[in-house]
Amino acid sequence: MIGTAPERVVVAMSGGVDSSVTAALLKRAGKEVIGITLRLYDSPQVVGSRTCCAGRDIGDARRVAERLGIAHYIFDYAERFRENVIDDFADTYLAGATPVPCIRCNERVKFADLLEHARELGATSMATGHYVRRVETSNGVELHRPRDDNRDQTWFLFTTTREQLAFLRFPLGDLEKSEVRALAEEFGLVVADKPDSQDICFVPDGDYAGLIKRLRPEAGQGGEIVDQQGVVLGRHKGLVHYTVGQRRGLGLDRAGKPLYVLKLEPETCRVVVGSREALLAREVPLHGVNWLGEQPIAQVRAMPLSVRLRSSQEPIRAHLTLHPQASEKPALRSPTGATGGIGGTGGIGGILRLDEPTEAVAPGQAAVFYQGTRVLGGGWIAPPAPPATKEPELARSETDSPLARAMG
Amino acid sequence: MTQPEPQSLYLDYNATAPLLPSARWAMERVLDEIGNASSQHRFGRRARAQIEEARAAVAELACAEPSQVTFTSGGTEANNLALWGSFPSIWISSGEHESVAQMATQETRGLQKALQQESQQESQQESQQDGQSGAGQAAPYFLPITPAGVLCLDSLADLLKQAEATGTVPRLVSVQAANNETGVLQPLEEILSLLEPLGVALHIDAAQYLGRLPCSEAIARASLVSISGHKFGGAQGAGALIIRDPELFVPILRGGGQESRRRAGTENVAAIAAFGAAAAESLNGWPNYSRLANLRDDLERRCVAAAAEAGIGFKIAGAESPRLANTSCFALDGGEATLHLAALDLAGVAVSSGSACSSGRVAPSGVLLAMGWSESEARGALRVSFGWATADDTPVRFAEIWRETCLAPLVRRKVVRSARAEATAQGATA
Repeated sequence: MIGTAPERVVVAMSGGVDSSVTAALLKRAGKEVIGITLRLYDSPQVVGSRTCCAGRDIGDARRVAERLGIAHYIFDYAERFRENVIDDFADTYLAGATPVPCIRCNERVKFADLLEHARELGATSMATGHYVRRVETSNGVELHRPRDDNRDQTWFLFTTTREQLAFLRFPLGDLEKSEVRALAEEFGLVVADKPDSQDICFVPDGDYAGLIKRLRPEAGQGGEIVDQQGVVLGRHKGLVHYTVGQRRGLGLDRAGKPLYVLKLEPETCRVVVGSREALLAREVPLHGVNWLGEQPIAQVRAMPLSVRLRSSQEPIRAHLTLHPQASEKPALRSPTGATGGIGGTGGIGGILRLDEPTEAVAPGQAAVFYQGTRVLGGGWIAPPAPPATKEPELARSETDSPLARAMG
Repeated sequence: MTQPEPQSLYLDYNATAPLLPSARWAMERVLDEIGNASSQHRFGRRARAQIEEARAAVAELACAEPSQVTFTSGGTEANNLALWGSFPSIWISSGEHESVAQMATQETRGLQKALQQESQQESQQESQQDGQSGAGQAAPYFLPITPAGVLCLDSLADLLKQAEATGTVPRLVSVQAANNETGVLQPLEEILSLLEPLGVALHIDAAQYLGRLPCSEAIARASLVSISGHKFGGAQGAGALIIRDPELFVPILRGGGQESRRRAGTENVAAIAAFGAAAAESLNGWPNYSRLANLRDDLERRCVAAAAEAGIGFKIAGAESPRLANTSCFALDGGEATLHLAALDLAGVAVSSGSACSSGRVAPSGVLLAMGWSESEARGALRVSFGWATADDTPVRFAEIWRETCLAPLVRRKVVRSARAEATAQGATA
């Protein structure tokens, strides 16, 4: 024991039960654990007056760290979070798509700046309380689904690169949630009974539209609701209130024939609606793909795999084709010129061909690839008809796209 | 269980200094006794004697009469009290401690008005006072400081002249003796000589100064002076406001006869006794500040050299001004104070960032911004402060650890980023 310094591990502690138990487990394993809690937003400015939780969560993390006897620091990431997550959240909605801020936060905040800071603090790894498994193989490090299927968070981590995975640790991947709670009790942590967080952290009241209108007043602009033929059926009170696949809140259901949101058009501020059948998609164009498979991009052509188009869905069969994305420009812009998360940042694009048509793939959401339990990466779901693209494959997807077919 | 605790280096005396042995002894003696100082019995008398003994020492520290000393919970309360009675007819030096600066907020103003209305009903005298302060109903004014951190005397002279012409001369000007972050000393004598002819009162926040350095001419003359006990070896929980001009004073805490009705509430006798003991120790033999000045200069030289060798910009706040010998505030170009605080802490070194920080919210230091630093420069600022127990090998040890935990990662980051930028540029041309 004498002379060997324990391995230094940074744990991203949110103040919740999962990351608290993560820290406790690593401490018990003899590591030098450093807890870091990120202050991500100024409650009153961002989320209105109803909030309570940011300060309380930071306090909980601090108490857990005190209990465990580990070093604990609070880093103010509010500016980074606003630039990389909240602004993106608002701009993505404005561009007619539906963002996933938790993925952006992992991609651009936790596994970017925090990871760099952890390295600079002399840590040899960084652990989080995500329910995912990290598997070391002779080919490198792989990301897998966790033992507890109900808690699977792989969908939220699809942007994690190999380099990041090499540095990351996920000690909860082999545990059930109930076991984690029991461990929290055993360790005597104050957060043992704390409820899981439900909403997006910076919108605790769930009123996304209200937040976006505060950040981007133009988002409240109303417009027409039209059918696929362009016939005006009614008016809406701002695109931010709608997401593709939504039925409720339209107030337009015709007798016996429910209508669904098929598409949001930021250029014309129109909501296009249609029947449930029109929602079915067979092809899903992707941007900003993170590829974790061994095959070079060029060899991923109609590759059979499973895919999840939303966080809680069981993977469905599909065939994936990848291609380099020449354009660094986002595929779609909001009327204000803001570019949202739907654009991706160049790199790799792709097309998913679903074996069975599935409904409601909202642009801005994530498509995550699986082979068995292994995550092969994922991509952002692009809008079905990117205007004025020079990409031949994307151009093909324009005419082939489900919505184009549905509209035609 | 047996993680080796790195040998620690405590360099945060401006936050709080370690308790002096004499202060500890005085405190322990009080803790062993019972007695509320307001009680008439022997127990009460003994507690009262402790307070009065401390009062005499603190008075001497500030060249004041014992009757002019009001004990408070610390420097913040003393500052709040000092400004309360003159609000809003106050000019405040930029870069003051938050306990002074925040007295200028709208919230404070609302509170103050409510309180004054209440006291008007109670006391005729105070309503007259309210009438007086009504002359200068403008919001408190923040006086500029130079990039060297010193109050700009020319501006003050000009502003006073204008105010005199328009009949808006303030009741009170509040200036620190020494800034808590940079250690820069203010030209108090010159300020006083501008104020006195106009009958403007001066409040000096001497929390970082008294107990460390002998009372100055200006401190001996100022109408109000704040002192903190734990910055020079007393216990946390006791400070004092010297009140030479009772006309400027309105109590905040009411409801008891303690401290001549200026500050109601049972006294923190143990902390006051420690405060008194620390004051007495200073008066018996001033801390060797030329030793601390040498340590500070040595530490700065080493950091300057290391940063220059690494090719990273390095800036010391107020280096060209007279400063407290124990304080150094500096920033590495591109450095982040919160990260560096953590890195240093993990290596056992306790320093402070220039920023105000609560629940993790980091606001860049007000005084550095007032000195013309950019927000990102200010976010990088670290403050190192010494005191009576600081060892002579501190500069060597600090510079070595700082180079390894703060400077080296910045250099590596720079290398990685330029490599990335190069790769991107090559990718773009390919």
